[in-house]
Parts: sequence; structure tokens; C-alpha cells
Amino acid sequence: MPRRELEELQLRMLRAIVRRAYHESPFHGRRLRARGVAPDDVNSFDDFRRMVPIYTKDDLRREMSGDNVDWILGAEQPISLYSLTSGTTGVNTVLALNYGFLDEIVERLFMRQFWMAKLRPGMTAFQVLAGWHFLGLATNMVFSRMGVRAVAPWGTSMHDYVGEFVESLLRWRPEYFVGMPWMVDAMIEEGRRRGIDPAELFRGVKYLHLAGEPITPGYARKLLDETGVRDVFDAGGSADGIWGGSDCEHHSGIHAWMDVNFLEVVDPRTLEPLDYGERGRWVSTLLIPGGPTVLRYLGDDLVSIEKERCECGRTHYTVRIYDRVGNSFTRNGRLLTPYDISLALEAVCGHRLFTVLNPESSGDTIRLLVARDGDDDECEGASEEIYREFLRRFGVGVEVRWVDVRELPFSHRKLIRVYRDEGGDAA
Amino acid sequence: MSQPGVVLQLEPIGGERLYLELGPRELEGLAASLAHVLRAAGVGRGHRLLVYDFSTSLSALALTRAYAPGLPAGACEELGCSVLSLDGLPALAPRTAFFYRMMEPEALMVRQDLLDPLRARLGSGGLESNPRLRSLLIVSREDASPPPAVGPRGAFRLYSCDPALFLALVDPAGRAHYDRDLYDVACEDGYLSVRPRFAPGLGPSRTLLSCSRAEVSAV
Repeated sequence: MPRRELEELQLRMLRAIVRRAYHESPFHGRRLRARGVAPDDVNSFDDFRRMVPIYTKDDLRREMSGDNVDWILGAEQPISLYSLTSGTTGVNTVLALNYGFLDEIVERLFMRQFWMAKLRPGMTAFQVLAGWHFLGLATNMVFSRMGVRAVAPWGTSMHDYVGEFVESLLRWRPEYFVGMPWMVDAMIEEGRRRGIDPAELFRGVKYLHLAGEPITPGYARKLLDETGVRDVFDAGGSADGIWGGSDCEHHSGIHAWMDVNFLEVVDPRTLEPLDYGERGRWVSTLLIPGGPTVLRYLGDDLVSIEKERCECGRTHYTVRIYDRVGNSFTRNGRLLTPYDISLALEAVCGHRLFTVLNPESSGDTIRLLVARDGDDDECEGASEEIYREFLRRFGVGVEVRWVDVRELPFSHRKLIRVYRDEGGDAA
Repeated sequence: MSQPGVVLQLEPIGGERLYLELGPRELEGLAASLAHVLRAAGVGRGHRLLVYDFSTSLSALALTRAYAPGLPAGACEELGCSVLSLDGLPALAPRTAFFYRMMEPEALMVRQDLLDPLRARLGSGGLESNPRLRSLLIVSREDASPPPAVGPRGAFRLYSCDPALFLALVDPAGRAHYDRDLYDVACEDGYLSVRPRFAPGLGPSRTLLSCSRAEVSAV
């Protein structure tokens, strides 16, 4: 569908959702009435941005209780199950769901996402079951609908269970892998510890479908080279904002379905709307009725929305996800994240694991701990090139300290990409 | 369309890794078995069920079709209950306690090893801090004895013999309730041996239930 028609459809759906929110959701209805906004007032995207208030996780937490969780966001009854968000930024939030809504969003969002990422009927797919998480539920339902058999190792997505992941992969040789980037890294590490080459470990796997952390082109390249899979798909989105998608085989950003969500980007400080291509926090409105109403939910990630048409021919806009706001820092008036740092490093060295140290207290310089790739990393001698690359990209220098990977700061074996302390450096 | 399903790794006991290949028929049978024991424990329409266990646990897997690829309808769909799950990690006891207080579920299903950490996090009020709790199901694979006397009402043990896809509810008097129609049952050296009729590929497995305690639930 041409972009213009998609936008017209989007506006019609948006107006319907505002009407529904006003009448069916006590949370949104009260906020709209407090602003003096009636559903018929919203006739354009500009009206919507100007009139409908943004809300955050904390706004919702303040009003949500066990007594009203089923209906505060206007979900159709009866509620069949609840999902939790990942809780990365604090206590998880609860989504009250019914099967009608789940079936609808699985059909309109997740089936398209997984199809685009090359999942096909009859495949066997590795998947750590996560009944508590919205994406876990949706993935299970996609598998059911598409006719995919899951290979589910015992346990959950924690490092303690990586051994079971490896065993399941070796035993069942699935063709598809759904997981998080750290899981692949940890499985490669565990495989090497057992004397198994990554390509042998992932033999049979054609595609990696990964979510949870931004994937840079260099990181995707590294995964392709090491595992020998045909392609790596980067999935992203939010359970709180109920939006999501994946990139396609052209890897030019995550395709977000314009007939499922209306996405905006706002300035992280002023919350003023930003244009296509500008970097800010996403704001999601879910256009599918029946579930929890999401009406201008402010997310925690830094993104940009790109309007250029993807080579795949899809007309929906694409989203680039950079990292969480909490992992960002400013240099020369620009909001940077580890994603940007990784791109600069990759331009010289290829992908490396690293941590940004105390960005707020390191003056104009960016200070990094970078893990050597093997015992004899040639890039260790490329300090000048790295410095010039940082100067060219960010207008500031960089101070690199090369370390063993074990010297990087980890939390529950997950790499801390931006390390901040109050008394000094980790180094 | 190819048939969906799940190749499920069972919880390793004694270091042994065991996988079951479950298609819609096996998953439906498991859901029916689970619905039977939940009903026997008093779980019914409109009840909220809070689960503190892994999603790969058989007693959680078949609760809803959203939990298991290939499952047409789960136990809660049959009973009309709603379900909220948290992973079966000791570190999640604080979050589980938070949601126990917030959601005030009528039913709580918890791994045996996590019961004490959860009660500790609930503090002096313990499980009784939720006046709506009617059914406490303590999930175990290596213990089929009567449940400990905890909670405001009688607790139950939800005993799972995973290799046979067998679920039984052990009541405080030590009686075991399970759906007799779903299993071929024999007594072997004083213990119940079961084979699921809905999973022709699986052979008989000996349970930890003594034959004298095994009763067919009248529910």
C-alpha cells in the first residue's frame, strides 16, 4: 500500500482508538477529559500530537492496582492471561490480555514479523519458553499458527541455563533460532569451552532472530561469520508500548507496521515532536482495539524513524533503535549511545566488546575499555586510527584501554555497556 | 500446514537429560490432566492463578494455548481462570511477592523449593496476607507425600511424573487425585505405574504414589 494511503488508514484508526480510549479506558478517559479533549476534536496527526497527553510507565503504575488491572486500560473482558514487561527499568508492569486481542495482534504484527524474518511452516525453531513475557506468548502463538515446532530447553533465559541451550541445539539441530544476542555469545563461549567450533554448534541453523539489544552491522557480521547462519534478523520493540518488528533481509531498520502502531519520536528533554531521521524517544499508540489501550506511551529507548523506502519494497516506515536512554550521553551537543561507539570501532577494527567509562566525568574525551579479540589483537596497535575515527565522527578524542574480556564490567554476566560510578572509574 | 508442537526438555533430575516430543494430541491430553487437578483443587471460573515456576514445567506449560506451541486450548481456557506467571528463580521471590499482594490470586502454584523463599518475602502476613487465596498448589517431582500445612486453607501437592505426562493432586489426607480416563494404571511393587493414553509413544513410568493412596478424583 502506498505510504500516503497507509497514513490515511493510520489516521482513521487513530481517531477510532482515541474514541475508544475516551469511552472505555478509565485511565486514558480521565486524562483526556482533564485536558478538555473530546474524541471529535482529533482530526489530524497534529491535533493528536497537540491534544493527547503522553504517559509513562510511572503514570500507569501510580493508578494501576490489582482491582483495576483488568479494565483500567479498556481491555475487553474476560481477561485470560497477564503478561509482564521485562522489568529492566524497575518493577515489571502488567498487561491484561484476552485471546481475541492476542489472536488479532499475532496475526497482524507477529506473523508478518516472523515471516519477514524467514520463519516458515514446518521449521523447527529454538525458543526458550517465557510465558511471563508478551513476546514469549506471541512467539508461541506464531509457532502454533504457522506450524512450527519449538525446541524448548529446560530453564529460562539466564546464563545458568546456557549449558542446556547448547545441549538442545546439538541434540535437535533446529533450523531457526529465536533468542537474545547475549545468548548466542554465551552459547558460542560455552561451545568453545567444550571444544566445539561455533559453526559446528550452529550447524543446521539458517536464521537467527534476535531481540533485546541493539545489533550493529559489525556485530551481525561477526555472528554470521562465526555461526555460519544465512542471516541475522534484528527484532525490536516494546511490550509496554505494544509495538515491534524486525528488519528484513536488507537490514535497513526495523519495519514497524503502520496499520498496527502510530509511532512518534520526541525530544528526550522537551518531549517536543521530532522529524523523520532525528533521534529521540519513541512514543507508541497501538491501533488495534480490544487489548490494553496504548495511547501515546513514552518509551525508554532512543530511536529514529526513517521514511526512506526500504529496498524490499515495503512501504511501512523503519525504526532504528540505538539503546536505552539510560545508556546515552552527550558529546558536542549530540546524544550518543554505545551503538554509535560500536560503529566507530567497527570502522577500524571490526566488532569488539567494550564499555564506555563514566561519560559524564571524562571531559571531552570518550573513555573506553575494549576487549581484545584473542591473545594477539592487531587492532591494539591502531590507536591513532581509532582516535581519528572518533574525532571525525563525534568531534572528540577517545582514550582506549585494551583489556581481557573478563575485565569488562558485567552484571549477571550481561555486559554493562555504559559504566558509571560515583567515586572513580572501573579501570 | 505442518503440525506445530514442542520438543520439551524436562527438568533434569539426577543429571539426566530427557526430551519429550509433544504434538497437539499430547499437549491436549496434558491440558486435560492439568484441568482435572486444578478443578480438584478448587480452581474455577473467574479465578486468578499466579504461577511461580518455569514456563517449561509441565504444570505450567499446558495452562494456556499461549504458553505452548501446538496446544489448541489450555487448562485455564477450559476452567475459565486467568493466569500470570513468573519464572521459577529464587531471585524472583520479591517480585512474586509483589504480584501476590497486588493481584490477590485465588490460586497459587509454586515450586516446592520456592515456597519458603516466597513466604519469607511475604513477611509476617505470609500467604494469609491475601484473603482471596483458596488453592495453594505446591509443585514437586521428587516428592508425592501429603503437602505441608501452610496457607490459610488446606494446601495441595501437585505431583508431576514428567516422563509419563502424569499429574496428580495429593490432598492433605494423602489421597491422590488424577484423571483415570487419561492413563493406563498398574500397581508395581506397591507404587502406581502410569502410561498416558493420549501419548502412544510413551511407555509406562513408575510414580512415587503408593497404590493404596491413589484414588480417582470424584470431581
